[in-house]
Amino acid sequence: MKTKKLLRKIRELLNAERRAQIAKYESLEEVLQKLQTKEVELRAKLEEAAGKGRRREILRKLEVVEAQRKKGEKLKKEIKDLRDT
Amino acid sequence: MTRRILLPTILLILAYGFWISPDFKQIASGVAIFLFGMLTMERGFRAFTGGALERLLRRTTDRLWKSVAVGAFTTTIMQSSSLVSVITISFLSAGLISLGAGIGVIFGANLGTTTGAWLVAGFGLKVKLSAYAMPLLVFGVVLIFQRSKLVHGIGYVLAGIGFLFLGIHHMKEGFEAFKEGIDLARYAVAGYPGLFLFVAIGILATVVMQSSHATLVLVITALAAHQVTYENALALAIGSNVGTTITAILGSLGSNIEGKRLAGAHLIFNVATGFIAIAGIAPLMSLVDGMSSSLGIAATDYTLKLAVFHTVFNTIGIVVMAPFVAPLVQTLERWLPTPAPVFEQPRYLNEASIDYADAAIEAARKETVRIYEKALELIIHGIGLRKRDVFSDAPLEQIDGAGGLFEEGIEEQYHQSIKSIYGSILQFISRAQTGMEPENAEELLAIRMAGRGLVEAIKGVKHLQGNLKVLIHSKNPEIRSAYEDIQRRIAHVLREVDSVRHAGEDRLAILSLNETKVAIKQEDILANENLDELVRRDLIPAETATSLINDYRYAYRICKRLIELGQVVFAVHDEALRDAQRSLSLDEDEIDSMAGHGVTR
Repeated sequence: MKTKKLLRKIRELLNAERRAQIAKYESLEEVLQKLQTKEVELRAKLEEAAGKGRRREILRKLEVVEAQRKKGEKLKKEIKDLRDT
Repeated sequence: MTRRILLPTILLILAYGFWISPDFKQIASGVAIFLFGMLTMERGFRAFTGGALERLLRRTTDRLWKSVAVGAFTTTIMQSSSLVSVITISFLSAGLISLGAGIGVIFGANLGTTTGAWLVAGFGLKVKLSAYAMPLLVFGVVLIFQRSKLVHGIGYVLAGIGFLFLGIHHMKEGFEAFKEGIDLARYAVAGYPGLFLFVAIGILATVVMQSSHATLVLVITALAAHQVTYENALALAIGSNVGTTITAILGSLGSNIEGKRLAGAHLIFNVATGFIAIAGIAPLMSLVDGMSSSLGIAATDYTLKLAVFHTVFNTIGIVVMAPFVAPLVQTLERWLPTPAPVFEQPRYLNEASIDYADAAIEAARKETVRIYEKALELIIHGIGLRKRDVFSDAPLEQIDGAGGLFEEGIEEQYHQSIKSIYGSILQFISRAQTGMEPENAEELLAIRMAGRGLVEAIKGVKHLQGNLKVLIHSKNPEIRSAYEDIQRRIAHVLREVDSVRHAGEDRLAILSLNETKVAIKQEDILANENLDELVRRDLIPAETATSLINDYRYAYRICKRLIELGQVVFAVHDEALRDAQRSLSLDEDEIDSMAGHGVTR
């Protein structure tokens, strides 16, 4: 197992495209983590929000964040699958 | 150096004068109150600019006689030839009227300003003006505190008239008291030396006070109190007519070449009229005597005769100069030629960076940000807002959309400060893309598209401005509110893009622009739905609805292009992170479906 992981690391180090993919994967993880935090914050704000306009604004933000997260998770999985092959 | 010494010297002389003579103090305070009244009135009338005044001037200056009539009429109403000439300069600078028409307005303003002398000589000296001043001030101040822009403006005008009356009253009282102590008339100088001396004094007094009206009122009150002789008063009136051009000259300093030409025409006209009056002073006085007696004015009523003289010599000036308007225009165009437009040059695009992908991308991005900064002012002022309001923390609902001044000459400014740089960016990108890695070439392409979008946004503002600057002042609250909404929507997007710009390497900033995109789409859908409802309920005329449909489309496109630019040029520098963020960004279909969904929710 350790040898297999080591081989993969060496392969990634030598392949520029693969390196870029890893960097993207790591950035994706970071952004998704922040998006998740934002989503939690927005949900809390929604609970407290008074007024139709304000609620609609928060709901819109929530919907966008959800869609972005969904896209991100899908992409992350694609990169991971590609990496594992 | 002279300027530095002048003000303290004047203040010292005034202070000394106040110390030795209470009468002088009263006269000077009368002048000060009078000038303050003029400033207050000007401020009041400015509240109406942007609407009625502009429309009136624009439509009624196509013929010389019309321009003269408009100049005379508006100056009579406003009692300030300076304000009319400064507004005319701004109109001319904006290309709304021709130089010939502008000259006509200035001629008319000279005639209109003579009504001031009539009012003061015929009415002001016979009635106790201070009795009217107090209620006017009280009503004026009460109205100033009102929120409506119109009422606020009326308040300033009323308070201004109140101060004018109060100022005249103090001047009159001062001269009356002065008469008891000193007889200034003893210093009268007869003949041509006196004429030239008092013309010079009249010029100087008007230059200092920045108002021929104030000089004339001072002269009339002094004349009524027999502190100046009739002949010397006439010379002072001639001098005030020449001196008043200083306001237009100062006003033209900040204007373009057309404004400077108009100020030149103003100076030539008033100096020529002055020379005519000096050269023909004896026949002019006989003419005034004859006209006064036929008007039933007593031979000893010198104040009214001064008003007659003022009107007569300005009318003669117009009659003499009117045939020379076209040659005057040509001469001024020759003397003050249009300077070759100075086009802005690119700052970051250089040969050294063209061969290196990262450097080339950064240079193109920075240059695009530079034109964005230039465009920002054009867009904000183009829609009648102020930069400090748009980028303040105040809620957008509190921005006074009708209070700002609309930037004129968008096309001209676009050509001067943006187009040439944008052209250089296009050229630079085309050259840099050759032989570049596909992903870098793609980045450059995105920057190029962002620049194109910005140009589209500026063009959109130009189209939008036509209706916006007129209909934002509409009497129909629905129309006004619709255009205020357009201003707010664009301001909202500008704020969002600006916050992304200053977010640095914030991981989520650029993604928030997706939400702004959904918001502007939803707002556009709702605005159009609301418009349908307004038309159905007959709350706005059909033709305005058509304009609004077009303007909503312009506004939406302006917003969209600005967001797209922000997404490209304010993206983070870290390539992997930028790539990740772009992968999460929502595409057009997703935005549209989300916006539609949000509206129905």
